Amino acid sequence: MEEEVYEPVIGLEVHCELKTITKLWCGCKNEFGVEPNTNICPVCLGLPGSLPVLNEQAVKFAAMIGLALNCEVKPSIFHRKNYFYPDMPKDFQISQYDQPINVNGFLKLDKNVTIGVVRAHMEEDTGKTTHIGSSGRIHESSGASIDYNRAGVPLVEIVSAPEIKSAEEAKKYVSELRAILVATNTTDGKMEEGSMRVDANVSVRKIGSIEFGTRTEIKNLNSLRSLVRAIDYEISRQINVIKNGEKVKQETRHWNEDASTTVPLRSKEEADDYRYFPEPDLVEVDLGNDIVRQLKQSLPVMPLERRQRIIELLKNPNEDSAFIVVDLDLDGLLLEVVKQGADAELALKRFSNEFAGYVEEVKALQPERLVELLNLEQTGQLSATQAKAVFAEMLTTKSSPSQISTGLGFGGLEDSELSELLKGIISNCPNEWNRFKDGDGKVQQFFIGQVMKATKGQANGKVVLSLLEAMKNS
Amino acid sequence: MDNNEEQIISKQDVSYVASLARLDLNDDELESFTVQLSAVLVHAKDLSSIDLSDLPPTSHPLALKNVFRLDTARESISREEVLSVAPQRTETGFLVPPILGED
Ligand SMILES: [Zn+2]
Repeated sequence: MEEEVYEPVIGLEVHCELKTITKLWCGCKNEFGVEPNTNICPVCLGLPGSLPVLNEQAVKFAAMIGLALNCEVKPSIFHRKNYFYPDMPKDFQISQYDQPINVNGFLKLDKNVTIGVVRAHMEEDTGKTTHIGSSGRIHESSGASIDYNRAGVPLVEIVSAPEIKSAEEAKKYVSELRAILVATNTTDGKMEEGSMRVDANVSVRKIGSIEFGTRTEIKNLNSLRSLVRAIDYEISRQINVIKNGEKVKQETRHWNEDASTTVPLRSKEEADDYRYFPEPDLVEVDLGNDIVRQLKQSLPVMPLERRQRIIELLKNPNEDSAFIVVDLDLDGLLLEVVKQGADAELALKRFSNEFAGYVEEVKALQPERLVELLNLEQTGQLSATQAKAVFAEMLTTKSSPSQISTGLGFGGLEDSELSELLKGIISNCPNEWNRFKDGDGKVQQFFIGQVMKATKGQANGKVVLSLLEAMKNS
Repeated sequence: MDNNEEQIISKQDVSYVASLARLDLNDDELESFTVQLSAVLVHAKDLSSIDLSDLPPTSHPLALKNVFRLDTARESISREEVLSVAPQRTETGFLVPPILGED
């Protein structure tokens, strides 16, 4: 495999919109999904004479993000990033340049992997451009329609070090980052709504080489799936370019989900020269040690640690299930039911599957009820299917799991009744019974199925199986 | 140009800066602005002759920091009022020409 001679080097830039009530420089509402151009004013339209005034909450959120990513929070200033593009009505974007608010952090992916966070700076979002085709309503010219509701919405851009080694690791980084951001309650992390957007810088180099290869920047990564596919595509594209004796061009490429390729954006004229200069309408931001300390203390326990608390309870660590439970913010309840005597393995299984679809309802239940349900299943008094049915009822009634179970006619079958039933089935199916006795594991499902049919699904499969085993050995 | 003819930027520099600012300058204008901008820069360069090594860098002429506003919403302005004075509009948005560099 010649591919193995090369290794990718990936860095990610993640933009996230902050969950403030208003925009960064003006009192227009920061809202998603409202009528176009309804949250606009002279400031965010860049009208002459208007002046920006910084939203204090946005600064605090930005610092909290930095602290959650183990950054140093520093005194910072704003710059103008100049470019002509109609998504910024001022013809510049206010951003942070050489003195960003957060620097030198890191993000832990797991016990062994840590990715550096170079900086996490504040800036304003741009307006939303909708291209109008020549066949659209505007017949005289094709062009673009701009909605400035998003212009001036506070963003934090988190720049990773070029330390990510694969598309999968990039996905893990973004998932972990998203989990952290959501936990800090500073952003809602919705990639599908664009409140979290990822650009990937990708290059390849020969393994063992210290120098980086020429990188490309990939945009339009709207989901974790696109992120992985686009990076994998770009890695092999670059390797092919090099193998063909050509050079990778430094450029911005656009991920086309339908075609599953990255294509170069026609390079905007000298677009890389933004002529940054300090924004004269804004002054230095310096939260000071006391406020930074307070913000740090206000941070919740981070997701990695929350998952760890679950995993410690398990014989067989299941990171994925723990991720789901923490992501749904159900881990506190899970820990409580385990503390009250529920089996941790079973609890995690149910919390990450059946319960996951009913987060709010489950949170509203008394933990004791969940413990009772899980224990009924754990002890075999309810089959998994029956437990699911009882759970569904619990969401809508106030009755206890055992009351519901009785009401549904579950658990009414004594072992002796089941034994009698089984004996009957066995005498009708001698061939299957012989195969079972010879150790053919597949036939056990046949017997369980027969019992279920005869009991209209009220028997517990586990109990049937143990009865079968007992009969085989007798 | 009474003091000196020192040119600390080239015509190419000026042409480049002009293109970034979307200014379409002819050759005479380029020539003239190169001389003028050089004079401005030479004047600004005088500052380098002062020893400022003891002074911390200044990012702003005002000795102010942390000018904030509270995160409270106020009414936005009427869309119709704004769109009615836009050079071109759609029903709900600002219409701009097709954007270079995008499909
Ligand atoms: Zn506004």
